[in-house]
Amino acid sequence: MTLWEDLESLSGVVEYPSRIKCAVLAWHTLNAALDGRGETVTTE
Amino acid sequence: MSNVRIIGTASQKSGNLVPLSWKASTPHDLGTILDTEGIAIRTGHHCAQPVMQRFGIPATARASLAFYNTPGRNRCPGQRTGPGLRRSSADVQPWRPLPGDSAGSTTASPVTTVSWDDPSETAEGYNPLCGDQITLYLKIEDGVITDAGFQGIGCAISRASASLMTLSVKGPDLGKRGPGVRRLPADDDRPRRRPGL
Repeated sequence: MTLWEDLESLSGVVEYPSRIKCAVLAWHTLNAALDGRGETVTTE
Repeated sequence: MSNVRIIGTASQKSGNLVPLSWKASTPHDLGTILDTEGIAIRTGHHCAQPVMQRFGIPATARASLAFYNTPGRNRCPGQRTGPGLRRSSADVQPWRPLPGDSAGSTTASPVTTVSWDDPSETAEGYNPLCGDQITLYLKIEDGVITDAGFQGIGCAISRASASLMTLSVKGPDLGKRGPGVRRLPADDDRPRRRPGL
């Protein structure tokens, strides 16, 4: 399996709406790091 | 069942609720896996957030028994040990407990991949819904992410996603960064699971 196929497997989380925020947390945090925002990012 | 810890075992406590934590996965992962088996349990803090914070328990899974639960339907969650969420391939960064953490205990245990004393950028993220916490570390040189790692606690999905993220962001030119995380579709637009599953 390639990394991109692994990434694609994350799309399976759409079947579990309550778990989508678990999957996107790291990516929101990445955006915050690149933007230099100091505060803690939350998915709420 | 040595994998299960019953929460709330005081002698004066009685009732039909069995809150438990699971050493092999977080309560939310347990709930999701059991859901695919047609077993419904509750997961989370069950309106007891202050006392759970006091005792350092981020969440529990709770089996709630009532008159409509016949013996045949009362399959204990502990009896369900088959394959759960699909594991990703082996090149995903392994989860390593922090020093002092008991080996093999992933529930609410800090895990770490890479961190540095002097990262270029850091950020912290929190998902109150599941209790996931992440601290992200980036090393950026000449506008390029040369290394990325994270520390955190959380469910299997949040850790898998964070691991894949740190693996996949190395190298891109920050000037070419796309729109990033898009807004989630509105509730009505999200795909629904078929009833009965």
